[in-house]
Amino acid sequence: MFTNANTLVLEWGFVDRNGGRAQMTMHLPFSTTLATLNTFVSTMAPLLTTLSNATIERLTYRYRYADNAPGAPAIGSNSNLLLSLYYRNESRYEQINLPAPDTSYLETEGAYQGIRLDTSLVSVQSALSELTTALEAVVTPEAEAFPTEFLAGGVFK
Amino acid sequence: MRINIVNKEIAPGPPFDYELVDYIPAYTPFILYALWLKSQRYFWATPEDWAIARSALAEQGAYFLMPGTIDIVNAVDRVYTLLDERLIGNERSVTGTGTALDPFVYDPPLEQAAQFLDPTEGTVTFYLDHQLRGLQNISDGQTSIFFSEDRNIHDQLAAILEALTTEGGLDADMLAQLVQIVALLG
Repeated sequence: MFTNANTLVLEWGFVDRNGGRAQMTMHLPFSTTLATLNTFVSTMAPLLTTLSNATIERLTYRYRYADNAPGAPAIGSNSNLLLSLYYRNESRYEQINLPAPDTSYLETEGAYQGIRLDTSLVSVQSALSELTTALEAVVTPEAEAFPTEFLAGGVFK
Repeated sequence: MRINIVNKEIAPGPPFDYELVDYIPAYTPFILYALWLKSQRYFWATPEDWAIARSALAEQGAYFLMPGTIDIVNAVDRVYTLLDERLIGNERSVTGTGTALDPFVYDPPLEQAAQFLDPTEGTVTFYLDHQLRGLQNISDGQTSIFFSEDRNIHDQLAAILEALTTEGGLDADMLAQLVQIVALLG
Protein backbone atom coordinates (compact mmCIF):
# COMPACT_ATOMS: atom_id res chain seq x y z
CA MET A 1 0.00 0.00 0.00
CA PHE A 2 1.34 3.44 -0.87
CA THR A 3 1.86 5.91 1.93
CA ASN A 4 3.00 9.47 1.58
CA ALA A 5 6.28 10.88 2.82
CA ASN A 6 6.33 13.19 5.87
CA THR A 7 6.95 16.25 3.76
CA LEU A 8 6.68 17.53 0.27
CA VAL A 9 9.92 18.72 -1.26
CA LEU A 10 10.26 22.12 -2.86
CA GLU A 11 13.36 22.57 -5.01
CA TRP A 12 14.48 26.03 -6.14
CA GLY A 13 16.64 25.96 -9.25
CA PHE A 14 19.07 28.88 -9.57
CA VAL A 15 21.22 29.88 -12.53
CA ASP A 16 24.18 32.28 -12.36
CA ARG A 17 25.57 34.70 -14.92
CA ASN A 18 27.79 32.04 -16.46
CA GLY A 19 25.04 29.49 -16.81
CA GLY A 20 26.08 27.61 -13.71
CA ARG A 21 23.24 25.94 -11.85
CA ALA A 22 22.56 25.28 -8.19
CA GLN A 23 19.64 24.06 -6.18
CA MET A 24 18.11 24.88 -2.82
CA THR A 25 15.70 22.49 -1.13
CA MET A 26 12.89 23.20 1.35
CA HIS A 27 10.44 20.86 3.02
CA LEU A 28 6.80 21.71 3.70
CA PRO A 29 4.02 19.72 5.33
CA PHE A 30 2.77 17.06 2.97
CA SER A 31 -0.76 18.34 3.39
CA THR A 32 0.15 21.68 1.78
CA THR A 33 -2.12 22.23 -1.19
CA LEU A 34 -0.88 23.32 -4.56
CA ALA A 35 -2.62 26.69 -4.21
CA THR A 36 -0.99 27.32 -0.85
CA LEU A 37 2.33 26.24 -2.26
CA ASN A 38 2.05 28.67 -5.16
CA THR A 39 1.27 31.50 -2.74
CA PHE A 40 4.23 30.54 -0.61
CA VAL A 41 6.53 30.51 -3.62
CA SER A 42 5.33 33.94 -4.71
CA THR A 43 6.13 35.28 -1.27
CA MET A 44 9.45 33.51 -0.88
CA ALA A 45 10.94 34.06 -4.36
CA PRO A 46 11.61 37.83 -4.04
CA LEU A 47 13.07 37.31 -0.56
CA LEU A 48 15.53 34.79 -1.92
CA THR A 49 16.55 36.87 -4.91
CA THR A 50 17.13 39.85 -2.63
CA LEU A 51 19.88 37.87 -0.99
CA SER A 52 21.08 36.03 -4.10
CA ASN A 53 22.55 37.40 -7.31
CA ALA A 54 21.46 34.30 -9.18
CA THR A 55 18.14 33.99 -10.95
CA ILE A 56 15.44 31.46 -10.11
CA GLU A 57 14.73 29.59 -13.32
CA ARG A 58 12.93 26.47 -12.13
CA LEU A 59 10.76 25.15 -9.32
CA THR A 60 10.06 21.52 -8.57
CA TYR A 61 7.41 20.22 -6.20
CA ARG A 62 7.75 16.62 -5.12
CA TYR A 63 4.84 14.84 -3.50
CA ARG A 64 6.39 11.48 -2.75
CA TYR A 65 4.59 8.25 -2.06
CA ALA A 66 6.13 4.88 -1.40
CA ASP A 67 5.08 1.35 -0.70
CA ASN A 68 6.88 0.49 2.50
CA ALA A 69 6.11 -3.19 2.24
CA PRO A 70 6.03 -4.04 -1.45
CA GLY A 71 5.31 -7.59 -2.50
CA ALA A 72 8.12 -9.75 -3.80
CA PRO A 73 8.81 -9.16 -7.50
CA ALA A 74 8.03 -12.14 -9.71
CA ILE A 75 10.81 -14.62 -10.34
CA GLY A 76 12.63 -13.68 -13.50
CA SER A 77 11.53 -10.06 -13.41
CA ASN A 78 14.20 -7.91 -15.00
CA SER A 79 14.10 -4.14 -14.80
CA ASN A 80 16.70 -3.87 -17.55
CA LEU A 81 14.10 -5.14 -19.96
CA LEU A 82 11.38 -2.67 -20.93
CA LEU A 83 8.19 -3.03 -22.88
CA SER A 84 7.50 -0.17 -25.25
CA LEU A 85 3.87 0.42 -26.09
CA TYR A 86 3.34 2.62 -29.12
CA TYR A 87 0.30 4.79 -29.63
CA ARG A 88 -0.83 7.33 -32.16
CA ASN A 89 -3.58 9.79 -32.85
CA GLU A 90 -4.32 11.87 -35.90
CA SER A 91 -1.31 14.11 -35.35
CA ARG A 92 1.42 12.30 -33.46
CA TYR A 93 2.97 9.13 -32.05
CA GLU A 94 4.05 8.49 -28.46
CA GLN A 95 5.34 5.59 -26.44
CA ILE A 96 5.34 4.47 -22.84
CA ASN A 97 7.94 2.10 -21.47
CA LEU A 98 7.00 -0.45 -18.85
CA PRO A 99 9.91 -1.98 -16.88
CA ALA A 100 10.26 -5.72 -16.35
CA PRO A 101 7.42 -6.92 -18.59
CA ASP A 102 5.91 -10.37 -18.17
CA THR A 103 7.64 -12.17 -21.03
CA SER A 104 4.92 -14.81 -21.21
CA TYR A 105 2.89 -12.18 -23.06
CA LEU A 106 5.40 -11.99 -25.88
CA GLU A 107 5.07 -13.91 -29.11
CA THR A 108 6.41 -17.45 -28.88
CA GLU A 109 7.12 -18.19 -32.52
CA GLY A 110 8.17 -16.46 -35.69
CA ALA A 111 10.70 -13.71 -36.33
CA TYR A 112 9.45 -11.65 -33.37
CA GLN A 113 9.58 -14.51 -30.87
CA GLY A 114 10.35 -13.11 -27.43
CA ILE A 115 10.22 -9.55 -28.78
CA ARG A 116 6.74 -8.47 -29.75
CA LEU A 117 3.70 -8.30 -27.51
CA ASP A 118 1.30 -11.04 -28.55
CA THR A 119 -1.88 -9.10 -29.16
CA SER A 120 -3.71 -12.27 -30.13
CA LEU A 121 -3.84 -13.22 -26.44
CA VAL A 122 -7.16 -12.34 -24.87
CA SER A 123 -5.44 -11.37 -21.62
CA VAL A 124 -3.21 -8.92 -23.50
CA GLN A 125 -6.14 -7.48 -25.42
CA SER A 126 -8.04 -6.96 -22.19
CA ALA A 127 -5.11 -5.31 -20.42
CA LEU A 128 -4.39 -3.04 -23.37
CA SER A 129 -8.02 -2.04 -23.66
CA GLU A 130 -8.17 -0.96 -20.01
CA LEU A 131 -4.77 0.71 -20.22
CA THR A 132 -5.78 2.64 -23.29
CA THR A 133 -8.86 3.94 -21.54
CA ALA A 134 -6.79 4.99 -18.53
CA LEU A 135 -4.32 6.80 -20.78
CA GLU A 136 -7.02 9.26 -21.75
CA ALA A 137 -6.08 11.15 -18.59
CA VAL A 138 -2.44 11.44 -19.67
CA VAL A 139 -0.92 14.27 -21.66
CA THR A 140 2.29 14.68 -23.65
CA PRO A 141 5.15 16.91 -22.44
CA GLU A 142 3.51 19.59 -24.59
CA ALA A 143 0.31 19.16 -22.54
CA GLU A 144 -1.55 17.73 -25.51
CA ALA A 145 -3.78 14.67 -25.28
CA PHE A 146 -1.77 11.49 -25.22
CA PRO A 147 -2.51 9.33 -28.27
CA THR A 148 -4.71 6.34 -27.46
CA GLU A 149 -4.75 4.27 -30.63
CA PHE A 150 -2.56 1.31 -29.77
CA LEU A 151 -0.19 0.25 -32.54
CA ALA A 152 2.23 -2.33 -31.23
CA GLY A 153 4.31 -3.34 -28.27
CA GLY A 154 7.77 -4.80 -28.04
CA VAL A 155 10.63 -5.13 -25.62
CA PHE A 156 13.88 -3.22 -25.68
CA LYS A 157 17.04 -3.55 -23.67
CA MET B 1 28.81 27.68 -18.22
CA ARG B 2 26.66 25.02 -19.85
CA ILE B 3 28.64 22.37 -21.68
CA ASN B 4 26.99 20.23 -24.31
CA ILE B 5 28.76 17.01 -25.15
CA VAL B 6 26.49 16.32 -28.11
CA ASN B 7 25.30 18.49 -30.93
CA LYS B 8 21.71 19.54 -30.44
CA GLU B 9 19.80 18.39 -33.47
CA ILE B 10 17.14 20.12 -35.52
CA ALA B 11 14.39 17.59 -36.10
CA PRO B 12 13.51 16.78 -39.70
CA GLY B 13 9.84 17.59 -39.96
CA PRO B 14 6.93 16.14 -41.86
CA PRO B 15 5.82 15.35 -44.45
CA PHE B 16 7.97 12.24 -44.43
CA ASP B 17 8.76 9.84 -47.23
CA TYR B 18 8.63 6.13 -46.50
CA GLU B 19 10.66 3.25 -47.88
CA LEU B 20 10.37 -0.49 -47.58
CA VAL B 21 13.64 -1.84 -46.20
CA ASP B 22 15.04 -5.06 -44.77
CA TYR B 23 16.19 -5.35 -41.19
CA ILE B 24 16.93 -8.08 -38.68
CA PRO B 25 13.95 -8.70 -36.36
CA ALA B 26 16.19 -10.32 -33.74
CA TYR B 27 17.86 -6.93 -33.26
CA THR B 28 14.57 -5.11 -32.70
CA PRO B 29 15.11 -4.71 -28.91
CA PHE B 30 18.40 -2.91 -29.51
CA ILE B 31 17.01 -0.78 -32.31
CA LEU B 32 14.07 0.26 -30.11
CA TYR B 33 16.48 1.13 -27.31
CA ALA B 34 18.53 3.33 -29.61
CA LEU B 35 15.43 5.07 -30.88
CA TRP B 36 14.18 5.69 -27.36
CA LEU B 37 17.54 7.07 -26.24
CA LYS B 38 17.57 9.51 -29.13
CA SER B 39 14.05 10.62 -28.28
CA GLN B 40 15.22 12.25 -25.06
CA ARG B 41 14.91 16.02 -24.75
CA TYR B 42 18.67 16.40 -24.30
CA PHE B 43 19.50 15.66 -27.92
CA TRP B 44 17.24 18.26 -29.53
CA ALA B 45 17.77 21.92 -30.18
CA THR B 46 14.37 23.22 -29.08
CA PRO B 47 11.22 21.91 -27.40
CA GLU B 48 9.57 21.98 -30.82
CA ASP B 49 12.34 19.86 -32.32
CA TRP B 50 12.01 17.45 -29.42
CA ALA B 51 8.26 17.10 -29.95
CA ILE B 52 8.70 16.43 -33.67
CA ALA B 53 11.55 13.99 -33.14
CA ARG B 54 9.88 12.16 -30.28
CA SER B 55 6.81 11.53 -32.40
CA ALA B 56 8.83 10.47 -35.45
CA LEU B 57 11.08 8.16 -33.44
CA ALA B 58 8.08 6.56 -31.71
CA GLU B 59 6.47 6.15 -35.13
CA GLN B 60 9.64 4.51 -36.39
CA GLY B 61 9.78 2.24 -33.34
CA ALA B 62 6.22 1.11 -33.93
CA TYR B 63 7.05 0.34 -37.55
CA PHE B 64 9.80 -2.02 -36.47
CA LEU B 65 7.16 -4.02 -34.62
CA MET B 66 4.29 -3.77 -37.04
CA PRO B 67 5.57 -5.27 -40.16
CA GLY B 68 5.21 -2.18 -42.18
CA THR B 69 4.02 -4.47 -44.86
CA ILE B 70 0.76 -5.10 -43.05
CA ASP B 71 -1.10 -2.90 -45.53
CA ILE B 72 0.45 -4.85 -48.38
CA VAL B 73 -0.41 -8.15 -46.72
CA ASN B 74 -3.99 -6.99 -46.25
CA ALA B 75 -4.13 -5.95 -49.89
CA VAL B 76 -2.76 -9.32 -51.01
CA ASP B 77 -5.32 -11.07 -48.82
CA ARG B 78 -8.07 -9.04 -50.46
CA VAL B 79 -6.82 -9.99 -53.92
CA TYR B 80 -6.58 -13.63 -52.86
CA THR B 81 -10.12 -13.72 -51.56
CA LEU B 82 -11.37 -11.89 -54.65
CA LEU B 83 -9.71 -14.37 -57.00
CA ASP B 84 -10.67 -17.35 -54.88
CA GLU B 85 -14.29 -16.32 -54.97
CA ARG B 86 -14.41 -15.27 -58.62
CA LEU B 87 -12.36 -18.16 -59.95
CA ILE B 88 -13.40 -21.01 -57.68
CA GLY B 89 -16.41 -19.74 -55.76
CA ASN B 90 -14.96 -19.99 -52.23
CA GLU B 91 -16.85 -17.29 -50.38
CA ARG B 92 -15.45 -15.81 -47.15
CA SER B 93 -16.65 -13.38 -44.56
CA VAL B 94 -14.25 -11.00 -42.84
CA THR B 95 -14.38 -9.29 -39.47
CA GLY B 96 -12.07 -6.75 -37.86
CA THR B 97 -10.80 -3.32 -38.75
CA GLY B 98 -7.23 -4.20 -39.65
CA THR B 99 -5.66 -2.71 -36.54
CA ALA B 100 -3.23 -4.47 -34.19
CA LEU B 101 -5.94 -5.25 -31.66
CA ASP B 102 -8.65 -5.89 -34.21
CA PRO B 103 -7.00 -7.54 -37.21
CA PHE B 104 -8.87 -8.76 -40.27
CA VAL B 105 -9.98 -12.35 -39.70
CA TYR B 106 -11.27 -14.39 -42.62
CA ASP B 107 -13.78 -17.18 -42.25
CA PRO B 108 -12.97 -19.74 -43.44
CA PRO B 109 -9.26 -18.93 -43.03
CA LEU B 110 -7.00 -18.35 -46.01
CA GLU B 111 -5.32 -21.66 -46.63
CA GLN B 112 -1.54 -21.88 -47.05
CA ALA B 113 -1.94 -24.25 -49.98
CA ALA B 114 -4.74 -23.46 -52.38
CA GLN B 115 -7.19 -26.27 -53.00
CA PHE B 116 -8.55 -26.73 -56.49
CA LEU B 117 -12.10 -27.69 -55.77
CA ASP B 118 -14.87 -28.28 -58.30
CA PRO B 119 -15.74 -24.77 -59.42
CA THR B 120 -19.03 -23.31 -58.37
CA GLU B 121 -21.49 -22.31 -61.08
CA GLY B 122 -21.15 -18.64 -61.89
CA THR B 123 -17.38 -18.52 -61.46
CA VAL B 124 -14.81 -17.96 -64.17
CA THR B 125 -13.36 -21.42 -63.66
CA PHE B 126 -16.80 -22.97 -63.96
CA TYR B 127 -17.36 -21.44 -67.39
CA LEU B 128 -13.83 -22.26 -68.54
CA ASP B 129 -14.36 -25.84 -67.41
CA HIS B 130 -17.71 -25.91 -69.16
CA GLN B 131 -16.18 -24.68 -72.42
CA LEU B 132 -13.27 -27.10 -72.22
CA ARG B 133 -15.60 -30.03 -71.72
CA GLY B 134 -17.68 -28.80 -74.63
CA LEU B 135 -14.66 -28.69 -76.92
CA GLN B 136 -13.57 -32.14 -75.76
CA ASN B 137 -17.05 -33.44 -76.44
CA ILE B 138 -17.14 -31.94 -79.92
CA SER B 139 -13.68 -33.11 -80.89
CA ASP B 140 -13.39 -36.43 -79.08
CA GLY B 141 -16.86 -37.27 -77.89
CA GLN B 142 -15.84 -37.17 -74.26
CA THR B 143 -18.88 -37.14 -72.02
CA SER B 144 -19.28 -35.16 -68.81
CA ILE B 145 -21.97 -33.88 -66.50
CA PHE B 146 -22.61 -31.17 -69.10
CA PHE B 147 -22.42 -33.19 -72.30
CA SER B 148 -23.81 -36.71 -72.61
CA GLU B 149 -23.49 -37.23 -76.38
CA ASP B 150 -20.57 -39.61 -76.91
CA ARG B 151 -20.19 -39.04 -80.68
CA ASN B 152 -17.79 -36.35 -81.81
CA ILE B 153 -18.75 -33.75 -84.38
CA HIS B 154 -17.34 -35.85 -87.24
CA ASP B 155 -19.40 -38.86 -86.23
CA GLN B 156 -22.49 -36.76 -85.76
CA LEU B 157 -22.19 -35.15 -89.18
CA ALA B 158 -21.44 -38.50 -90.72
CA ALA B 159 -24.62 -39.85 -89.15
CA ILE B 160 -26.57 -36.89 -90.51
CA LEU B 161 -25.07 -37.41 -93.92
CA GLU B 162 -25.92 -41.05 -93.87
CA ALA B 163 -29.46 -40.36 -92.83
CA LEU B 164 -29.94 -37.74 -95.49
CA THR B 165 -28.42 -39.94 -98.16
CA THR B 166 -30.62 -42.84 -97.17
CA GLU B 167 -33.76 -40.77 -97.19
CA GLY B 168 -32.73 -39.04 -100.43
CA GLY B 169 -34.04 -35.71 -99.26
CA LEU B 170 -30.95 -33.68 -100.13
CA ASP B 171 -30.05 -32.08 -103.47
CA ALA B 172 -26.76 -32.98 -105.13
CA ASP B 173 -24.91 -29.70 -104.41
CA MET B 174 -25.70 -29.68 -100.69
CA LEU B 175 -24.81 -33.37 -100.48
CA ALA B 176 -21.44 -32.67 -102.09
CA GLN B 177 -20.73 -29.86 -99.61
CA LEU B 178 -21.59 -32.07 -96.66
CA VAL B 179 -19.26 -34.78 -97.96
CA GLN B 180 -16.48 -32.19 -98.14
CA ILE B 181 -17.11 -31.00 -94.57
CA VAL B 182 -17.04 -34.51 -93.18
CA ALA B 183 -13.85 -35.18 -95.08
CA LEU B 184 -12.22 -32.03 -93.70
CA LEU B 185 -13.12 -33.02 -90.12
CA GLY B 186 -11.04 -36.16 -90.61
